[in-house]
Amino acid sequence: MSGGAGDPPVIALRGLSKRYGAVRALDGLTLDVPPGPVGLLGPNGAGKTTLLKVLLGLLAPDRGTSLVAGCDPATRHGRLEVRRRVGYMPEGDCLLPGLNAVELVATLGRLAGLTRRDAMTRTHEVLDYVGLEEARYRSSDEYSGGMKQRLKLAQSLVHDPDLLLLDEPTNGLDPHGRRHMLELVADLGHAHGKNILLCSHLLPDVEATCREVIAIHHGAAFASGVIAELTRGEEAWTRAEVDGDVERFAAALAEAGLEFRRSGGGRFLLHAPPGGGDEVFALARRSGAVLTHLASSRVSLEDVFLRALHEAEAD
Amino acid sequence: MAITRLEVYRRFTGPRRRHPLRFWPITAANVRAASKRKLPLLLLYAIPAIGTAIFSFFVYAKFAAEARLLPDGAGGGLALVDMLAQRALQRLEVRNNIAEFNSYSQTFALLPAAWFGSALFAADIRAGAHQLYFCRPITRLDYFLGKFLTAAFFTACAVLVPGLVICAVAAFNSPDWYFLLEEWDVIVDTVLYSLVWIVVTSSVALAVSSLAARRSFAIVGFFAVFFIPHAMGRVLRSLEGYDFFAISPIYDLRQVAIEIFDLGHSWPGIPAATAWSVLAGTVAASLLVVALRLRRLEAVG
Repeated sequence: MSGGAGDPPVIALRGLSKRYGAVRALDGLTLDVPPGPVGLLGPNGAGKTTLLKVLLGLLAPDRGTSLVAGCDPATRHGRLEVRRRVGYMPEGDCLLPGLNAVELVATLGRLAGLTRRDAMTRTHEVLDYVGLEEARYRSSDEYSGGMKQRLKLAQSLVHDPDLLLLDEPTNGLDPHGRRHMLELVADLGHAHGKNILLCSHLLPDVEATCREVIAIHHGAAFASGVIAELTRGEEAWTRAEVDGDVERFAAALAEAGLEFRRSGGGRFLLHAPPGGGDEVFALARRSGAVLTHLASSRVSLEDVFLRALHEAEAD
Repeated sequence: MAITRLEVYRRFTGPRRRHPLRFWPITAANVRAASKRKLPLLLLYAIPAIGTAIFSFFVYAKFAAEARLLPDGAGGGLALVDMLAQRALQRLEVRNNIAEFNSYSQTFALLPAAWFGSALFAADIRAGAHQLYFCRPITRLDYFLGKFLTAAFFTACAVLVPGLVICAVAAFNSPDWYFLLEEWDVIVDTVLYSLVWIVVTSSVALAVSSLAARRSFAIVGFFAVFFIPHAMGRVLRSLEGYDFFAISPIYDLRQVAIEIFDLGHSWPGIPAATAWSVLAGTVAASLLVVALRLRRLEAVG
């Protein structure tokens, strides 16, 4: 996978392998993560969290190399430099006990290299941004699950990192909290141009926030690309609704050789080639039907993911 | 400097420095968090505070008595009374006072180390906080130092601060700053002994804390390290003799106090080298445990 328009990759992995005893968490993983919001998809146990720990220098790979923002996390200096440039939001509960939100974020900001004054200013900014402004002086031990997730996001943003590593950011959130979190991630990635690697097993989360996706399974990448391209392509379907002589319209579609499925009444799901809308209009006019709705129906990321996963397992 | 605006993400354009004292924010945050609960502070430091007041009064009384006795004694006629008074004053030497204070308050000085030190790693492990620390540009050594200084701070408040307060009382009450000019080595000895105490107890507290999943388990482990060998030392003494006192860090600390303050007591009678070796071994073993645990904590998260 490569970045667009010659942008250098934010993360470059070459043959990265990591084993836990007999379990291969990463199996010769080679990929380039482009700038912008990128989703790292994979079922539970696919190696996503292990990959994040290797990227942060928390785990040493058995083989292979990795470069994160141009730094090698396998070396001591590179590891510290990576952690200076990266914001990490871990998956599980992980707050500093006994501190309120301001103290927690400011402490972690100072550890990231901010001065005391800058850390405090940034702390209030990011807590406002994630919507914790009212609760900032409450002990984080009393926070709800959604507030804790937002606090974890705030601490990862306090030093304004070049790259955000988000590990399952919507875990344990109710629908409202999940939507809020996804809006924040999408805003960071799209409106503010943050480089984000979003690890998730929830495809809709990735689809809602990321421009590109990398799917891994058993520690190896099996699919990657721009989400819009993956879900378009030749196999895209077009949704059409017609009034009038529906049966003649169906016969005209069959005669024209277009694959279609009827979904009740005048609703059709057509397998039209890209730019085939004009042909559908012409067929409707000739068959005496009135086309009331015509829109492309994309293949969902879930379809793409499951198909690629099936193919990978078949191989 | 950035300006706060509601719900708008702003880029940070200020400097990001490489702090030489990267452990310091960890210490500050942990001291702040531990100090929020006032009742433990009150309970844990009440006895050392009372002891400090009592022994400070003894020191004050010594210098007050000296100021009254010496001119009268110089006048003659009350030589025997003076001699007895001088003998009593010797027992009120500042050096003896601090050593006595340490001896009496030893058990109580263990309590802050146990309460505050035992929570440092255990609470982080339980809350997963170590993940947030280790994704920052700090090393395991920074993390350890941050925690160690936290434990050392709370232990110092029970050992070093009382000793220095007693020294300060002596300095201000001694005539012509006699204590500072002639007995300054008592201050050095106080600091030295307190450092030994702080290093030993903080290291043990952090070691058991790194192994425990709960603070309560860590506290039990802490007291087990100090009091099981202590009890064994007593039992073995009754069976075999004094030599087995050396297995108790508490007796070793007492012996080290005797050596540092040059008190000349024979009890507990552990050879100085043995006492120092056992304490050094205890610290080394504790640090080894912490190092291995931190290595694992950083990796597994």
